[in-house]
Amino acid sequence: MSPLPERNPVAQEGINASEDHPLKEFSLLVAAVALLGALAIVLIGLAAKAWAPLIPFSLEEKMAGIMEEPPAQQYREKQKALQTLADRLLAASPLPDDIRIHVHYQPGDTANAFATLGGHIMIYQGLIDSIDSENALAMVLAHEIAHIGHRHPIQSLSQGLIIQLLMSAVIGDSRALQSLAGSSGLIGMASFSRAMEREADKQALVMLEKLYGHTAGAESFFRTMLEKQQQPEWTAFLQSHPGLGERIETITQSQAGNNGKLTPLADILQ
Amino acid sequence: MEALIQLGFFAALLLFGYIFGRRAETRHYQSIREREHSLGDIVILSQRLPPPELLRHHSQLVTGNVVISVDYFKTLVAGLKNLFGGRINAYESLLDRARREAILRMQEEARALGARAVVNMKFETCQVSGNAGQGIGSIEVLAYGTAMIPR
Repeated sequence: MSPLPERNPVAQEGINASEDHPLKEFSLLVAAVALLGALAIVLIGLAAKAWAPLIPFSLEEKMAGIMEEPPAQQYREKQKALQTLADRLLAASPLPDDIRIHVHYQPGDTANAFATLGGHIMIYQGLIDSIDSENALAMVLAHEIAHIGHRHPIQSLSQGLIIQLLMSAVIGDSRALQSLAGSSGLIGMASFSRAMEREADKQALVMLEKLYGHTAGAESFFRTMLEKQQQPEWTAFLQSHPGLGERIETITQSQAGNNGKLTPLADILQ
Repeated sequence: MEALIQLGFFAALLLFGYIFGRRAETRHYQSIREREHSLGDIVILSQRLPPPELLRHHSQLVTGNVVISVDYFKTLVAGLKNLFGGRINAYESLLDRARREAILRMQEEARALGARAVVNMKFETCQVSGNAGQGIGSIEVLAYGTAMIPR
């Protein structure tokens, strides 16, 4: 048996615990996760674009079902006027048979409009207040109809759903799943990508051209938005609809050479 | 906006975890090295039976016990590492500190008893917070052995 040593040996550092700086490992991991995450989001986005047209519209309507409540008495006429304008746009440039558009009037001050699942379009009083002609309103309506025609709501929602599912699987957190189970995750403003907005704008201009024979006045709403851009209450709209300047430019390009007459807003909407 | 607040909260937790965790670790390692030097004459042996020099000594159980908590930064790094696999350096240094600190505390007890050495040293460990899901966990490391005290 070996004799008793005088002292304990000095511990060797760097064997049981690495001496690397912790931030090095952290930044490598974050970079790898960000890269994989971005790749996954791009792939899922592409996949969603491919499968969105394959999902039957009736399924979309079923998911959005709860929105069929009638408007309050004093708003009924306004909603009817909006629906009539939408129907005129649709008559000039029809959508596939199974897609039905329901326009809803919202009394709020927000200058916004959005399209969501099931062919529902929300138009806020604030938006109607900020425009001066029927053409401008038709542009907004046509834009939202184009979103629905291209199946953007179901595309962005199914994309978001899959990303959330993937994240909850990776993180091992069931909270995301629970929020999905409630309807709160499905209804509400679907967020569209810039590419979707561009596509919808392009389609909307074609629809205006078919209805009025020109696209004059279409940029009016976006001009008002651009003027008010500094004000904080507009930020919500700007986040979902970036690049106002670029959008106005697209519209003005389509107006080159045509000097159309603007149609005034229906009396009930003024 | 809500997401921004959550992100800020997350970043703050991360930053606090990193700054305080890193500072505590550096200081702790420094203290560990100093005390390992000053307690180095309490010889620790893993063998079950004492060597001949330690026969005809009193013997007594000595223990050293540490509970160490994981900080938010380490938890996150370990969580990310879960995706790829491999060494979790963040936890390794934590456990290394806990083991060495436990030995040091055991040595301190042995010195208070006037011991020359500790034989048959062993480790025990347990998870204090249990399987508390996503919660921040802490672990206990216990070092124990038989102190050999001259008659």
